[in-house]
Amino acid sequence: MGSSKDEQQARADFSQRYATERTSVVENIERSVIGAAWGANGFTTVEQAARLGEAAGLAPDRHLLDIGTGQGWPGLYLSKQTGCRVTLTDMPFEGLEAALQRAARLRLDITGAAVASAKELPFAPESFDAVIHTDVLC
Amino acid sequence: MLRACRRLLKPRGRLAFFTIVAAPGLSESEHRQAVRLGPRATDSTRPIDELMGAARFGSVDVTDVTEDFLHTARAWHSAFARHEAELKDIVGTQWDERQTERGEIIQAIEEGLLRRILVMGTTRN
Repeated sequence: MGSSKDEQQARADFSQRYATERTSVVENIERSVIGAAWGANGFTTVEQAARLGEAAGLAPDRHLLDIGTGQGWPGLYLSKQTGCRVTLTDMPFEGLEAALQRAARLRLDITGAAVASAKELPFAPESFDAVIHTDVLC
Repeated sequence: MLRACRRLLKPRGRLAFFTIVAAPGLSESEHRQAVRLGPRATDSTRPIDELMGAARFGSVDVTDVTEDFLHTARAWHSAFARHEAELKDIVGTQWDERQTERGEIIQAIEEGLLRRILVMGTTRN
């Protein structure tokens, strides 16, 4: 499926951000705005992530799909908080790479990660107990 | 995208998401302005609960979180302004672009053009 010039530019911008911007300054800003440093750059705060997790009914026996996860926010955070298994998708590879590194450090139960558009998700029907996304570009 | 999510969920599975939308009841020109200014604002004029129903989600619940959206957008803008010099060393000219974009979003929220909502729904059996 094709994508618009704006979408391609947005992906390129996010790829650059994910590849270059994990510094203490950026992390401190993120903590002050979002309430934690998980590589978030949008509008979902820690409190709102918790609301999302509650709405999704997350628990250790549940399998969550986080679409457009960026660097793993909030899917990885919710996996850590609830014990659910999580699969991550997004278009920029650099963000997923950072998310996988974080998951390994935190020993989280990450089931998979896929570079994929939200419109064409490479999973079998009825694979997940819950799906979340936050202001995703699709 | 809602249908794609529906396909992947087990029976009684749950979809939950935040999304930025153009406010309902806008004139045609205001709606165009909202779509232009919104970071990912939908250009759909159909209410989200209608779209959820069309994708066969039940128990749909929509909560407006625009007040928090404005607070967070202002917080990003202020923090980037406070750390301008350090951030320009990291992101270069993108600092200006992002601050302009955030300023426009803040203005659009303040003018009632953009909203952010939390949407929840459950797949029917």
